[in-house]
Amino acid sequence: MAKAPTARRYAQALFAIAQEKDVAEAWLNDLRDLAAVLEEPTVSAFMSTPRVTTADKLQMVTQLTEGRNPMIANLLGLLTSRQGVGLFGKVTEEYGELLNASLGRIRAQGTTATPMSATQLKRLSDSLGTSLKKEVLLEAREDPGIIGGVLVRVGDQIIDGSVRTKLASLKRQLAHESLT
Amino acid sequence: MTTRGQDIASVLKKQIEEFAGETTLTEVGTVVEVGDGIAQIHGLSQVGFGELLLFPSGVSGLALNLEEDTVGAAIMGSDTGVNEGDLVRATGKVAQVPVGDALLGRVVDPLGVPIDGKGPVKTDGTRAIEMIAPGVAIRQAVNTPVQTGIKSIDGMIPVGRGQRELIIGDRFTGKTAIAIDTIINQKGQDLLCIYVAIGQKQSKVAGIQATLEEHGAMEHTVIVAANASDPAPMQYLAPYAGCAIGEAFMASGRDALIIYDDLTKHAWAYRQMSLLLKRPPGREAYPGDVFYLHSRLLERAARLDAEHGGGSLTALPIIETQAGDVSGYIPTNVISITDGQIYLESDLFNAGIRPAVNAGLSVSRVGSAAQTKAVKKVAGRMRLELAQYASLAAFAQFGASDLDAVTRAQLERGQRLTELLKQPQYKPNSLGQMVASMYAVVNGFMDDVPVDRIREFEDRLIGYLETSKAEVLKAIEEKKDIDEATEAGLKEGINAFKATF
Repeated sequence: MAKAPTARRYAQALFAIAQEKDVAEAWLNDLRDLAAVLEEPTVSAFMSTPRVTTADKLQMVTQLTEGRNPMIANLLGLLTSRQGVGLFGKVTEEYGELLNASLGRIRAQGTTATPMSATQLKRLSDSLGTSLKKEVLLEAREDPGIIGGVLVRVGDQIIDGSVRTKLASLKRQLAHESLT
Repeated sequence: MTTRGQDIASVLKKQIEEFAGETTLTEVGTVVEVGDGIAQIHGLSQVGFGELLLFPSGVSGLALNLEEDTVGAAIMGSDTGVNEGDLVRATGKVAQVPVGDALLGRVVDPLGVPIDGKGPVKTDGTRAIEMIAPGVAIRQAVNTPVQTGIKSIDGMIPVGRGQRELIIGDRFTGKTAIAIDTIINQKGQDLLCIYVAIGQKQSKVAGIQATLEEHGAMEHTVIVAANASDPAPMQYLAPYAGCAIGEAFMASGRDALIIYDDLTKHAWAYRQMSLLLKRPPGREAYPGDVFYLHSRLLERAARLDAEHGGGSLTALPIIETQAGDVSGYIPTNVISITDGQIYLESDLFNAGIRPAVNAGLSVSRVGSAAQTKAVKKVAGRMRLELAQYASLAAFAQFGASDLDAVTRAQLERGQRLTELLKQPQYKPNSLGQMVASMYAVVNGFMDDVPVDRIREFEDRLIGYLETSKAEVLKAIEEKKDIDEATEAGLKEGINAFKATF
């Protein structure tokens, strides 16, 4: 987790460049492509082992990024020379968050006990959108453990309408309620 | 039985009706690291400093380090049930304790949970553990004494209500004994007591509770205990919790006395937390804000003005020194915060002078403003005479035979004074008893009594006065002064007793 602020700084810098050129959205895909390549076991093993010299790694980067977006190639080169290739995936994520924020989008996870229908999903994301005044990218999840209702997580906040939580609070109240 | 059944049914009905209703919006985070009673939590971006957090295992935590992505929290309880990946909820509340009269006679932990096995505490309110101290405008000067019942303290180092008087000394010099005697002496008086045990052995706390119960002093006392086996965050919170309980008494216009036993261990607990929270260590590895730790606590002792109820909170912090070293970091901090100190010495203690108060190094900065007139009249010269005796005694060791009469008289008086100030544990004196015996020694009535019989003389004198001259003692207690009639009665009583001794 200590890596998160570092990755955010790189993402902010890259995003600033992309915004100047007005290509922020296109670059996200380029970033994701390259991140996928780097996640391949052979590549990631080669890039992360200390037994390979930085010079060799940089050469590898040049080959990997041939024909790709030069600015993103520069980012990977910079990260490699600073022993920070591991950050690349995180930078991609942070870049995505920055892009979402600048476009007024927000990601959210909605958890239900049984799968939501498309209309339910739409209604949930619409109502969330109106209350948050943002476009909501809702990701549906399933967890039979919550018994019923819906649990929505937006960033660091949880809107808890699950039956599990209500039962727990009912139990707590019944145990402590004074009947005097 | 039926009404009770109906009550339950009506509560259930209400809850069933409301069941589908409210959804809650909670701030959450994820535990990324846990150990040594500290959890690092990712998320919780809107959490406030000092906010209570709730872990899934049911223990609570205190948000203490707010960083860009993570929050460092102290876990107030066992950390074994807290796992990496746990969802932590913010409660939107700061730590609170229940306050009120229902706590009297009870032993509670720093969160107000009773630990004496006497069932739940039914209090009428709660109060935040951390509060800003009362401001200048609503305070008044300290003017009423706390009667400790200990001759050497009430006579030479008077403590006023609303004052902060430090009790400092090595281990085993009778620091706690002074505190306990003071509590016992408040039996049947108007001063409520709170004893905060920080990092003590459970056996010691149980012993203190038993002693207080035995002397009937638990009825006006609350014990707040975070024992040596409790986690550091609990020990850190204990004095603030006790202070909140005391402040509630003060806010209701009453007088309260709080004893922090001891702040050295409190500083240790805070040092442990700070180091584990990765705050930079300073001198003796204490964090930079260790002064503020104690200053903000002790500043909460106050005497409020009449407009605000006129209540007071007196603080008696205790500090344990190592080998008499008062120049340590924590001792100097607390000495500079408090309004004086009672300095106890192991040499005196071992020489049989108990309480082992060093009259030269002990001071009360509020001084005689908080002394009753009666004590002031008899004890005014005592401190000076003792100090002179101390310097002469060292000199006279080389041979008392060739000393002049004045010096010898001073030495004799000093020996008798020292003897008189010895006092057994759990035997606090009432104001009348104290004034009578001090009057006798200061005015030379004891000069012809052999030194080794001084205490016997005192005991029997008090016994005599209580049976034959009870009205004189009563007059002192009521008027808190010695007028001419009382003085004449006192003289007469002492002379009559001396004839029989």
